Amino acid sequence: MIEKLEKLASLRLEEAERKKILKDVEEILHWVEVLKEIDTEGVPPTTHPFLSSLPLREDKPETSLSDDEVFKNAKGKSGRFFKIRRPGWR
Amino acid sequence: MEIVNLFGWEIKEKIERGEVSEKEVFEAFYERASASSLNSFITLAEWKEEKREGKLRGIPFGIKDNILVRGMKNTCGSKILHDFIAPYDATCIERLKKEGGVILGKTNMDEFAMGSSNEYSAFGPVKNPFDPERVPGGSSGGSAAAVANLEVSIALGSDTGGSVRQPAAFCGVFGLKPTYGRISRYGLVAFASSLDQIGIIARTVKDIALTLEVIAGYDPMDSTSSPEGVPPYSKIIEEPCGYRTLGVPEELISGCDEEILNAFQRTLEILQRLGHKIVRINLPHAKYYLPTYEIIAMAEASSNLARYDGVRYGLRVEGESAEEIIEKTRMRGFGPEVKRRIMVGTYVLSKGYREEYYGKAQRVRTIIKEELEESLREVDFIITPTAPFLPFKLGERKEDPIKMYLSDVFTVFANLAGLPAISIPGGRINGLPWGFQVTGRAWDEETLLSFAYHLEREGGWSLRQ
Repeated sequence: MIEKLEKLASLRLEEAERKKILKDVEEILHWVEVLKEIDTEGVPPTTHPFLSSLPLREDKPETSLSDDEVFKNAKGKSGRFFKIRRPGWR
Repeated sequence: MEIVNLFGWEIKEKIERGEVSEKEVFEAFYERASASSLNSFITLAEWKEEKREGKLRGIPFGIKDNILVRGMKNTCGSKILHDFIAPYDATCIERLKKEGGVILGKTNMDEFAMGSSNEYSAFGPVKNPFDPERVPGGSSGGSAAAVANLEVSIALGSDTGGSVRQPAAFCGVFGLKPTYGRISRYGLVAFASSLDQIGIIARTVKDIALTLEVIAGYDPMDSTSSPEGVPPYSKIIEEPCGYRTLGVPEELISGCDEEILNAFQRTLEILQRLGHKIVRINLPHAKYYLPTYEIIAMAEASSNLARYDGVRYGLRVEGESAEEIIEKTRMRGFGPEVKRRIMVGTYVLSKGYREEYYGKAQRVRTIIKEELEESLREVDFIITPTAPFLPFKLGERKEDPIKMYLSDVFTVFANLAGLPAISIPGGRINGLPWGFQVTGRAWDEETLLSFAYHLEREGGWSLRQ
């Protein structure tokens, strides 16, 4: 299970921590199983505490961050692009 | 009285009367914060001379390190953002500054606000001001410790499941989580978007009321922020609050440590003597609150934290391909608790399990929300201890996630239902602070704050030193 989750989450675990994290994940999943006792047939899900209509702003141009501000924290850039190595085969 | 002992609103009045300068105030707190051994700040700001006026003129604020302050480092307590400089101000920061508030520094926190003890910070744990061998609570532990130790007048934190209220209780100060949507989350680094809310920590309810009236209110940059009007809380709380009915959910608090339960019982007696009514309320789904919360929080976190990939900002660990860079950056950048939650969150959202876990939790959330709203039609407030135990020793719960999650057993319901709740310092047990929590109806912070202010003045819970 843990290898599949690592792939889905794009998060590789160190060898030394994999066993402990897997054990914790299993314990947490077991602990939350208690919810299965509740009958939720026909109950709608709550996605947000108070869902009102989502207001749209007026369709007029506004300025946001400048290029300089956007790229200031980047480790690799080339012109107006973020730079990273090409995707490879796993 | 020394400057650092003054409440925020008193500082502002003294500045306006010309009895002290803004710079003197900043320097007094700066000196105390930089000399502190509690590790409550990750970054301290520098003094900037500028014209300030407004409701918060010259009051120094500590800001949790997941709320963006333009030009300052914003680490979220994580190695993955160790060098990230905020390119803009969060809406609440913009509003604080506009009313003359001063940023003293960015406070320490559990990594990405995941934790209840501040031990999961990549920048070292914060110590409890009452006993350096104990935790200050979390995840806003730096904010609470800084306020309690007089390193800053008022602090902002974020509260996803109790992260403002529980550290406030552990450090013996007041901590408010407002109604979901009351304060814009624009510029607050997202953990669990349907639960997150910015909160305020201070030594007097009046400072909380004053800060809330400045930073609350609709913001076009956060579509979940509410257009509800923002009343002048700091004036309203001065009026009499009347006698209130408080509900005690006995099933929920039954597993609490005995010393807390005894102190809580004495608190209820004081409330009765003040003329308030205490009744028992029934919350049949109480035992499901915490598991429901954990599923939703972890699912949303795994999705929100997908953005940390080393491509656009933050740590980047080099590798042979884009995928390798992303996987290794996340491996080295995140700490164990964040990894644990991302893995559980990924599982409960994965094909074949989504409805069984995440969908189920969202449906149970509806039942819980209705149960709490129903209760709050019968009583004005729900009252519980804020945490089920006293501040624990560093290391005591760190390796056992479920034991750590139990810290939030009384606080998560307010986030699940979006309700406002405040932790009020209840005094000391064996020299350690404890707190009780009062939860009110959605959008009615004014009654909640009036009630808390009334207790602060008449119930013997004032922190005036």
